[in-house]
Amino acid sequence: MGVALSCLLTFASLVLFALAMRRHHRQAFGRDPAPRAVLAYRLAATVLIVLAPAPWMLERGPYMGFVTWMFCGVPLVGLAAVALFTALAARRSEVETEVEA
Amino acid sequence: MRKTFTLSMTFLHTWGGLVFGWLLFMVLLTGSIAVFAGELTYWLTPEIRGGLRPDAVRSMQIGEDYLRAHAPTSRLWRVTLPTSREPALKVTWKELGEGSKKLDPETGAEIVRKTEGGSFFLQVHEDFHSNRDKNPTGFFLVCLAGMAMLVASVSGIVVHKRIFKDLFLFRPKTSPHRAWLDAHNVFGVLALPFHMMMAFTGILLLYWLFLPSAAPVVYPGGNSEFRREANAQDYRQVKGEAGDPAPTAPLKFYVDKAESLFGAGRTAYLYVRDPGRTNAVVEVYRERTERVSQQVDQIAMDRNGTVIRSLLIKEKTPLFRLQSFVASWHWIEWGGNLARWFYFLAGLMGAAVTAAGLVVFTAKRRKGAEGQAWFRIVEAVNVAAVAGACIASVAFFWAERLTPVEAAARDDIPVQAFWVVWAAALVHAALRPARQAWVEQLALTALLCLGAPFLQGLVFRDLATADWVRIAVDATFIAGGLCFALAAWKVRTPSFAATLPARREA
Repeated sequence: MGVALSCLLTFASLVLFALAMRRHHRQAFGRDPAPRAVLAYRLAATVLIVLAPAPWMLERGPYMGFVTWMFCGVPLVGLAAVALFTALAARRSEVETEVEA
Repeated sequence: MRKTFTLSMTFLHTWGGLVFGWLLFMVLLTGSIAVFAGELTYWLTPEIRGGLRPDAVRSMQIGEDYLRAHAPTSRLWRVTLPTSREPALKVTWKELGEGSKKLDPETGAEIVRKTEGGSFFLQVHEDFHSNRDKNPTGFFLVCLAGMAMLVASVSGIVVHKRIFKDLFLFRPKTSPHRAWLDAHNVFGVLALPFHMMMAFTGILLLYWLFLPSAAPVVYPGGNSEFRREANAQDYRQVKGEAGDPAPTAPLKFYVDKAESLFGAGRTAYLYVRDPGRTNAVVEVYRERTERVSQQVDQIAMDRNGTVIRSLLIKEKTPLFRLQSFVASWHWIEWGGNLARWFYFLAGLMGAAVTAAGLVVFTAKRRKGAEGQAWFRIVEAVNVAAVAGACIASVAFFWAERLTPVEAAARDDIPVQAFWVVWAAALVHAALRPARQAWVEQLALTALLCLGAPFLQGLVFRDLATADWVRIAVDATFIAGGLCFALAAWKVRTPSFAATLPARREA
């Protein structure tokens, strides 16, 4: 449970970091982000990423939690997310190509 | 030298990465495999019965009986209790007779098979399986590779600084070269904290070997005296005159006493110095499975059970505990299966970064340098360093399975098979065109992986006895084989990424 919460918090934080970037903001909303919004996104993302390991650490104890989160959890959750979204995007583009054809 | 900071970093990352990448891939691959050293030894020793849940007290009694019967005059005994990872009881004796045996923890029957098991990979990871006391070359090569990994990690951040801008960019379908580069970046960035930590702690762990003259300056007794004070280890090495014969209590007596200080059922192994003498000392060591600590609690008692020396981590200084905490990050003995799987996969990601980096090196230069002799050599060594290392590692398991139990110097044969196969892979890579060499070696690795569980039909026995540790090893072989098969398939298709539909770029 704590593990899942930590992963979700991390993911949410990274989405916010992405939205603070012009290119991704355009992809999501079709326009550039306002400078103030960039700041807000980054601030919120930072708060979330700092909070993210807390549920995991509460569940697994401070030492074990810290170590497993830092060196194992973050990279593997990240890799899983990359693999999942790449696969989803690939599938969607295939479907769209078929529809257009 | 180079004009700008970025350019010098690129130069360093590219060429340092290439040369040390060849070594690093092997170090990272074997290190990842060695995470499961205990499980692999168990898998490689079919004589250990499956599904054992050995009782610690009974196992200890069996070990003690064995040593009393077979090594009554030896001056140093060790009994290592079975664990769920490797449920065999180990007894070792030294000085005035020397030997080591694995026993069935319930019947006490000797397990005759001699094998290096999973610790072979630990040895390759540490010093390319050389004897570092006799010849430290292999050890220092690994250390250099570790430093190169740190350098490559830091310079890599500078070189690929676009990763910050393109943090969320992965373009598997734009061009083969970009895809490899992105893969290099994805694996590198995601596990960067892990990789830097492992490289750093890997070097840090053996600080007393790197600075060999520091300890003797401060400690008249040199390294061993220093280590005794630094981490209270090696007391068992202190040898005095053997006393007169005098009975020692059963080992359980000492273990109970030690466990009253560090927790019931937490004993991992124990030493007896001068058993059956007036000066007998029993040292009991705690396990470290649920603590992130490299040093372990250890209690030494005299013949009557009076504690004469103790090291309890919670009583040590914060600095000591910090050192112990950091050092244990590298030797993953805590955290159970979850953490071990994490380390295994994150370690393989490190190997993947290295492999992808090596491929990027050639992919980038193919147009300009194809046909030149040096480029041909780099390509061949790339294949052997990556795919060849994988074949050699799996070949080790095959050799272990196929070497008869009664063969002379049995435990050496698979080790030699490992090196011979690796050398053969280099020869093969030199003779074949690069793409064919990649495909053939990856395909061979896939076949070997897929076949390994079925050698002597042992996978069926594992399934029949619901032996989950061995089944997990079998399943990992199959999964690995499928990954290698997929890789071989992808590489076989000429510029596979180019044939795929172009990505619809927003």
